[in-house]
Amino acid sequence: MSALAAREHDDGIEIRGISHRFPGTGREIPVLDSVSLSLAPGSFTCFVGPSGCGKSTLCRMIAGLEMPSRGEISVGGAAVRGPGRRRVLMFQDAGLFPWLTVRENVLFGLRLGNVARADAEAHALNCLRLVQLSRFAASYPHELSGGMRQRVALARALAVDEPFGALDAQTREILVIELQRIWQATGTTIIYVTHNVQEAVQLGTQAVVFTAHPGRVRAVVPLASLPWPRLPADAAVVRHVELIHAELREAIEQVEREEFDLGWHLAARAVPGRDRFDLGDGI
Amino acid sequence: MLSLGVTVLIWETGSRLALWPPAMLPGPGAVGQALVDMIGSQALPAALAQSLTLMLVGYGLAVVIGVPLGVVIHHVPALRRTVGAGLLGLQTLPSVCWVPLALLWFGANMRAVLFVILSNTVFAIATATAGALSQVPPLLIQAGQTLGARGWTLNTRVLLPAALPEIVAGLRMGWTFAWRALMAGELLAPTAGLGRLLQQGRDGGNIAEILATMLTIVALGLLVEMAVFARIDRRLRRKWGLAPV
Ligand SMILES: Nc1ncnc2c1ncn2[C@@H]1O[C@H](COP(=O)(O)OP(=O)(O)OP(=O)(O)O)[C@@H](O)[C@H]1O
Ligand SMILES: [Mg+2]
Repeated sequence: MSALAAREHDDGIEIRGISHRFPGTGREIPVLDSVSLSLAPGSFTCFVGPSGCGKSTLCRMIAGLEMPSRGEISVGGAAVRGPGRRRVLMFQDAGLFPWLTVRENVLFGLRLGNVARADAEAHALNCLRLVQLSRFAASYPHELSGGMRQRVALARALAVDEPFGALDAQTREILVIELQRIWQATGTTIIYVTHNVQEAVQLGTQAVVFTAHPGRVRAVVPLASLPWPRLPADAAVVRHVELIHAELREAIEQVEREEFDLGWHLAARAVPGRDRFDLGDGI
Repeated sequence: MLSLGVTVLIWETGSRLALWPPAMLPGPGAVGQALVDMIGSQALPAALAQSLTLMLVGYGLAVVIGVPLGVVIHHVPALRRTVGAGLLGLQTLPSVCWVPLALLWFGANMRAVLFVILSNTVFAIATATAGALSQVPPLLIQAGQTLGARGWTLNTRVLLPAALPEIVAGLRMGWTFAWRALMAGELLAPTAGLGRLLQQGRDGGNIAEILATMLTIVALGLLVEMAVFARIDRRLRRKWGLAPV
């Protein structure tokens, strides 16, 4: 899972007509097909969809680490042409630098941004406090648990200059509340990829459900009208969870159906024609 | 340590019992005496100083040329395919094979020995560095890029530190290469180093002297290996959270 954030309050993300095929894989079905989305500045968008539908690929494109075959992405009005500090992707497995301490990892982006040493140190410490890891500032990444590493990666993303947020859901250790607190405190535009629909409804201002093979937008579910705080038992929360679940189930069943069809198709071809004939004759 | 003691014991007993002609393989006592004599006559310390100086200059140059060369090879795909493969081939060439060429090009002097060291070590270090860089996880490079590192900063702040343990492994191998090349060079070119002492021992038929010199070479190699490389390696691995080898 990955999450992504635009750094400035006023940075919305426009995704227009993205189609993508990985070159040289020889597969006919594109990974993404005509995906268009509009993420308002300061919004919190949750991506849900079957495994392999292209959620991570789309995030990598917004981060500028992958170029789409067709379509364009712009952040804060500027087209994405490569990786840059306005958009930070938080990677599934943290991507911390093992040769730097927790504190130095968080300082990395700050120092590249020519922030004065003392200011950078203070800011880094603040970011570590946000993820409750200031006591581990002098530890090395390999001395932390997986969830703690995720939180350091979050602090590192937060630290790059102004407000910042980026998260990962697969490790359950980043609490929903923590994520929400950070988003509210920073006003950052966040994309959060999760398989947990409940979490998506409790966190998001909108949820996007994808289909797989090819990855398309199946539904955009607005959630901004739901009042805070959102408790799992709230009627509106429950209703939206069910709604998104239904969409997601459809998308997953579609994948299963295709797999099934493909299976039949292959099985039929695997049987030589004459055998089938003989068999039929014998019956 | 224990096995060393046992070896010396067997060696001593063997020569006392005259299991082999003492002239061919003198006992530890005789070799020790030769060692003391050579230190006393200043022959060994002078040779040692000479060899170490050559080694430090040669190895230092090899590192200074080899590491940047490896970085360049890594970054230029065309070079990686052509030069990279060529270097790998050159590495299979034992260091002694460079000696005749070196003697003809530079004459029988220290520059020839220096050339023998460089010809081997630079390539070993360059290929090891290029290999180390190509094994840096893309995730770390991308993390660096999204945090704003590119070009020079990406290289110095992300790529090189990430590859450091592997680069050091390459430098360690380079040291062994350089040490062997030095001895090969000194044996054949008339410098005043340890290799020269071996040669003099041969000319004078003094086997105890030869053995004493060989022991010194082994001891020195081990010392650098343990006092420098093993220590750096251990420290890096601990810090990087890698398993010790
Ligand atoms: N570098 C690549 N080369 C070729 N195909 C790729 C590459 N990266 C991803 N894919 C393919 O693109 C599709 C989408 O992958 P992606 O990682 O975006 O899925 P995802 O939605 O994040 O899935 P998950 O929920 O399992 O993480 C997959 O079918 C995958 O096989
Ligand atoms: Mg993914």
